[in-house]
Amino acid sequence: MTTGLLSIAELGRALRAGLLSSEQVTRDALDRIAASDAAVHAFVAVDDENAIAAARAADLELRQGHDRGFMHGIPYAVKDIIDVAGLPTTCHSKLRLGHVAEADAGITARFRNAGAIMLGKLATFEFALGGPSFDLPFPPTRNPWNLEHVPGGSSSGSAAAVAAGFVRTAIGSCTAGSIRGPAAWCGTVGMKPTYGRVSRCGVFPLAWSLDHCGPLSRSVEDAAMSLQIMAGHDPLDPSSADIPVPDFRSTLDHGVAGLRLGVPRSFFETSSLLSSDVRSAIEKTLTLLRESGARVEDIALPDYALFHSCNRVIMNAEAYALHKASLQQRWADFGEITVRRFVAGISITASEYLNALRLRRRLTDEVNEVLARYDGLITAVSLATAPRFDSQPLALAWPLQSSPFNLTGHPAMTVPVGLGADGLPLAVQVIGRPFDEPTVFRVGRAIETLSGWDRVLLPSLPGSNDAGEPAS
Amino acid sequence: MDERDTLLAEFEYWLEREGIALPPERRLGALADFADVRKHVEIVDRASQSNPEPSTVFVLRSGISPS
Repeated sequence: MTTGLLSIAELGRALRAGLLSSEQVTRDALDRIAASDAAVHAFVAVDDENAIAAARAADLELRQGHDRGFMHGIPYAVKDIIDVAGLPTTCHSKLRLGHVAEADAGITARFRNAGAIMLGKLATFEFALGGPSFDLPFPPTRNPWNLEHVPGGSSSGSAAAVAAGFVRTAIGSCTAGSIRGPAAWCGTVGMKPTYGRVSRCGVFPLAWSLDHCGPLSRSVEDAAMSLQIMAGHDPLDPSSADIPVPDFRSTLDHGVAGLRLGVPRSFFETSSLLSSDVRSAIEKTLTLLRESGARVEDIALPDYALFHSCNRVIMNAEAYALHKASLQQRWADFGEITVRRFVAGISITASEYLNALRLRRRLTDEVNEVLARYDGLITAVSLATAPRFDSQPLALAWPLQSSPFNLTGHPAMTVPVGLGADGLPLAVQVIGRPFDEPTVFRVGRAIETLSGWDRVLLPSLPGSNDAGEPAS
Repeated sequence: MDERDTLLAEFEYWLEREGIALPPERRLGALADFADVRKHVEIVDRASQSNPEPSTVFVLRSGISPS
């Protein structure tokens, strides 16, 4: 059985039917990583011994009838800004080499309690902002669909590991689009849940009021199941929302008939960066949704530039405040791109930051006013496919449109919809009401099925076949 | 001084004020990012309103039950 192509739900059924063992599934995943990650660089550390031990323990528990739930025995991986007890959390930085986490982050503790098998730590940008760069302790991740292209970031390893078929799901983080951007460019689902839905305890911050954690997964269902594990109040995270966690799959297969979906065309339609492939992909998606019974209507939101600039001012101010002491004492130990990006916030005054916070409130209210009349929004997440490494502009000028919903905190998810003429993934973005991730997943699932993306195989990689298995 | 020199002087003022001893050859490389953020600050400032609305910066949302 080609375990690399099985969903989390399918793996779970196979484990419980005795057709597979967690140890076999885990060894298969580790073999795929060993065969192909030298080309992709998704992982900075693979914890194979502990993974095998955990898998054997999971198999024993399942045989004994101690079933921890649907993630029991399922491999996953973690962005290397998130603590896993006993392992380094390097943040992809020279400043953090040798740092070892004393305890699990809130998220990883939940996955551990659910019996999931942690395979290793995934590459990122330095401190989730400085990258992709070749002057860091580990090489930058490459896009599994074309290794000459960037995967996006900063959850670059998370997206690539899923896209390459190493794992079905990985944990990432998002401050201005670091889940949805790489998800779009690597052809994975990337869910940024509502702000406060997932604990950030044990996650190295980039910007306190913008950071979110969420899953990057092979399918919408995989993402929903992953978020089910991650979500929930954490009293150790002051921003953690103390509200009930719904069943994220409760309406997954209900289709879109009767839903009202808004399209903020002004966000993307007139941008000079919008490629014809992305434009066509968005229009085709909207047509498919209409044909499936959704009411799809153009809506007006404030200019995209206001959302983006507001996000940047807040992000740069908070990131600079966080790293100021390190920049004063150890600027030479950061990567060059990282230094540039952090010192960029050096001149933001208190009044400028407060203006951004007040604008943030008004923009959030305007989005909420629209979502009072619509069940969700559909918009672009990337205006073009992934650029090449040798032609990339500054990453902060990449053709991405993910920052607005970090600013407002609404749940937002990348859903891949096809491949462009260049063979690279195309995607759309689904946005929902605060804490209404079930509807976001419902719309995303419909798009995934209607587009046919759920039938697309894995990209070919050195050392693997089309099923993602090590080439014999 | 042209615009770039003015920007560099402003950037160097902030580096000195904040005690970040970035050498000259690294300052020029960082200038584009600095200028980019200033552009975003201007966009936010232009959209800002000075009317004395109630605080939206700090909000206390729930009480604490006595033990």
